Amino acid sequence: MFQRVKSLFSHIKILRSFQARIFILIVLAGILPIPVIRYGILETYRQRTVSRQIADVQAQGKMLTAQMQQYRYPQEAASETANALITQFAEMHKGRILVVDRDFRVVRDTAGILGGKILISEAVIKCFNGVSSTVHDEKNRQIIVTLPIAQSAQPQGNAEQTQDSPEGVVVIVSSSQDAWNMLEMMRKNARITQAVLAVLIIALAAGISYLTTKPFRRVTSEIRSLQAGHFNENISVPDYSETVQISQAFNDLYAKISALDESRDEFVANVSHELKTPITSVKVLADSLLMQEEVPAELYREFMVDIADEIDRENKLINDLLSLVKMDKKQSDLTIEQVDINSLLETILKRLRPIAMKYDVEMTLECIRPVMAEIDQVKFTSAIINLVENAIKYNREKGWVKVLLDADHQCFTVEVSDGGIGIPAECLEQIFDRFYRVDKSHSRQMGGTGLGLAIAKKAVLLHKGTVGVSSVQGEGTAFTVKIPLTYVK
Amino acid sequence: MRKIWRKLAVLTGVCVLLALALPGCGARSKEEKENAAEYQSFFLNKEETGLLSETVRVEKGEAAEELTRLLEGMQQKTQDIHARSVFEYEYDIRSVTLGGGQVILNLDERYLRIKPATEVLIRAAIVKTLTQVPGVGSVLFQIEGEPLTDSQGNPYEAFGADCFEEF
Repeated sequence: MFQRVKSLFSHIKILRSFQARIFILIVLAGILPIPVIRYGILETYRQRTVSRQIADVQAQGKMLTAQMQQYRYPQEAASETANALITQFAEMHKGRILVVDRDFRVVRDTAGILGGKILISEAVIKCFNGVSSTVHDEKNRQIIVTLPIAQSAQPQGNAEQTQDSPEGVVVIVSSSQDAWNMLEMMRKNARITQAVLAVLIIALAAGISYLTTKPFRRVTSEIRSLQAGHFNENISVPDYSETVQISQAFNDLYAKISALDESRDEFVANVSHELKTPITSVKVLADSLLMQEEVPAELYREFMVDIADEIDRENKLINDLLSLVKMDKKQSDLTIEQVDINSLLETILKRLRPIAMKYDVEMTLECIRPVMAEIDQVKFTSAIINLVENAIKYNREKGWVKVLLDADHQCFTVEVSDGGIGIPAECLEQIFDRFYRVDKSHSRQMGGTGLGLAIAKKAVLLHKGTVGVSSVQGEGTAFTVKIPLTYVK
Repeated sequence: MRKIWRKLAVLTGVCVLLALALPGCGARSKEEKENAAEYQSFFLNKEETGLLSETVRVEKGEAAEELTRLLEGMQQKTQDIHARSVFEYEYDIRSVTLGGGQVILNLDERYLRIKPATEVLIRAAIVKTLTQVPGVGSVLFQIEGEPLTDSQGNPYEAFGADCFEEF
């Protein structure tokens, strides 16, 4: 049932609207109880009116039978006083009275229909057997009360309970039409009230549903105004805690997107700058050679070496950018294989030893235990090379670099530490950003592209690993790479 | 395959037998219907506070014959568990005579011992049943050959079906 209602709500477009649902709920909650209340009130009124009338008829009927007993009715049915009393009673109740003698013969019928007939109605028979009865005939809108006329010689008592055969029985037919007419009038009034209430409830539901959903429309409108170009503004709809949450979530998302946008602009600017720098150098060197006449061969050579260096730098920059973009593209580019990490680290350090020697830095590798892990050898190598190369370059003369390999049952860690110049604490958060350099004045001198740590971090993240850094300025830096032993997609 | 043929043969046989038997039944029931007169036979309800009726079929004949058959039927116990036959009470019919459109039902004196509220219902049931017979207009009740009297000792006249009313 619930599923069917849900399906109905999702299929009918207008029912998908929150405003429409609130409207329907209020209308249902307001209108549905009205007929129930109306029925309850009218039914209670009807029952009370009828029971009051029944009580009246019974009480007055008992008085009548008592008087009839005094007049020795129906034995002396010719009594004018008694007959007048009966007629008056019948008129008062807009009904009919039948008096039956002990031979079940109708001795008096105020309607003049059944006089002289033998009445064998169940109520009359029961009454002669000592059981009075009261019937509310809703169809004919009348109350029929049957009462016994006690024997004259006997003292008056509770006529309903008498066990002695009564002298006769009185059947009182009292019209309940007045009560029904009143009820009908009340029904009519209730219907009008119900219709007016329904209209009011619908209007109220429309108003409430409109006002309730207004803050959500404001959220939409504010987002649209942002789309229209009103940037650098936060949306704020403080009407409900829900709209506050939506606004906050949107503002956070918007801030993140803005930051990404800025980062992209900065990246483009950095790339342009970094790519332009070597070309400018080459241009300057070439121009200075061209502008001079009879340039000595040594100077040519020297300038050509510089030009070659700048081209190498450009080449490296482009390669780094390409590898970063490749890593950005998708994870499925990874070529995962089981690799002996110990020997891989040995190979990496062996490759970097000439640079270490150039910077006069001592490099050591310490392996706590042999480690085999599922990694992409090329990308992992690239990450470690970048970390170790940085450790060598940003070091002191006669400094040291230590690579420590350890593992537990889940991950292996490679710690690249150095006794170098260290990184200021305030820069630690940004060092993995592309083109970020701690010391911008020395960056060209060091020959880096500013992409090394970004590449290293990306490569580690592709392995579902983490890379952490701790540094004390002037004492050294330690990068800790932690990668799961088994690659999980 | 052979079983299917056998079943089909049995089924066809049953159908043929039914086709032959049913019109016969219909014919017999139609014949019975033509030879029987339908009446409403009245009973007292179990509480003895009202009348019930059921349709009975009586073989057609002279009015006296049908009257006798109808009275015989009324004396039998009714199938309806909520009903009591008017002859379940302790009294006997001394004689039943039909003449001039009036049935004279002579009962024994034990009839007078019946409670008045029950007696009036018995009287009504008998009158309403017997006056349906063509040629019967009223029923006169006698006790041991004397007319039945009311509480004042006045003899009742013969009762027609319209003497009794249910309100």
